[in-house]
Amino acid sequence: MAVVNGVDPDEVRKLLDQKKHMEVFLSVCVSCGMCADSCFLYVNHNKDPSYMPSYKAVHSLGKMYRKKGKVSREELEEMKELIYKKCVLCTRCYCPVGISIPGMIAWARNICRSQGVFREYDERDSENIEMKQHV
Amino acid sequence: MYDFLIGPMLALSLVVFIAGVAYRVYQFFSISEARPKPEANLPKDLARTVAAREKDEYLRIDSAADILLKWKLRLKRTILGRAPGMSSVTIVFHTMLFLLPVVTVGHSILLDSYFGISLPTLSETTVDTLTLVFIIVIFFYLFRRIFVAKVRSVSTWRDYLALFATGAPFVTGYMAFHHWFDYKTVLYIHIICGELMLIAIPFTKLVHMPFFILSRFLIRYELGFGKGSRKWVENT
Repeated sequence: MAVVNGVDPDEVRKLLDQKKHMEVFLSVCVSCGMCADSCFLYVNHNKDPSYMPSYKAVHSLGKMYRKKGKVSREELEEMKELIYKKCVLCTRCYCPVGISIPGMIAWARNICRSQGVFREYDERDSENIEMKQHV
Repeated sequence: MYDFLIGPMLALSLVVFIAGVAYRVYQFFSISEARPKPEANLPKDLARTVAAREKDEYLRIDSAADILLKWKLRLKRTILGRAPGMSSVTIVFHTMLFLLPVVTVGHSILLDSYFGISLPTLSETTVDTLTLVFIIVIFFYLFRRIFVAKVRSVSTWRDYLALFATGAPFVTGYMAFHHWFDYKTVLYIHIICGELMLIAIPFTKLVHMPFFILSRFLIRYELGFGKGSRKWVENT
């Protein structure tokens, strides 16, 4: 398939196929929400569900698997905040079923990086400014 | 109709269930590989240091006093200690999910006539009460999925399907036992729901039944139950 807007679906597909077990992870996750409290970012952000480990994995890597790699640049940009800013890969999240969530988020980062979507350290961090105002 | 449901239909659903679970187990072994012991490659004194480090002094039980002092610390490292309420509900739920269909008198008679296996049963009133508890837990899960923000944010139709497939046989069984509505129709629906649940296990999110055991006992990671002799394989 042709490269659309700087995203190569074939390459994304190839990277997704490298991790067959992650596809199984996504079909096994029972969405129980038990991983939430193990994430310190979730606990410290007013229990915002978008900080939940399974939310971050399902809405980034899960989305890529669901679309079979045919993700648009806009979708990758949306994932950017989820997988770079809302996770620090501390690997402290636990899953009752035995799914390795940090591995999935790290692989989603890898795929995003291969398509030129990565964290920009010089951009204005609006959220941090908001938090400082509250303090 | 009844003969068909408890005859060929039951055989078909059992075959699909067993074949499906066997495929899932095969899939697990094809996406994981035996992990070479890292200690085997190390010099002897280094290996000893690694072994000593792996025995967590903070949690290691050396004496009777340690049992008294450290059980709380050990518990805090498990989900049971972190979320005791939810864990208890889950344990009760899954125990009854496996126990209730086996100890029901009606099912036991069927098992006896088919395979000549006669298992211990509980009295009908006990099973009835336990089923009611089970149905309450099913609705607890349903409402949790609908009203708790963190669970709702990751729920899809597949999660509701799994919950429905699990709950339907128990709710219809309860209805059939109490002769609500037309007994025969409800009984047929109960049998169909039970068989559909068996078929659904390998193909829906209920696949966590085999996956949970395989993954937590065989894969090496911090929260594994077993020795961890396997790791996930990468296709490069």
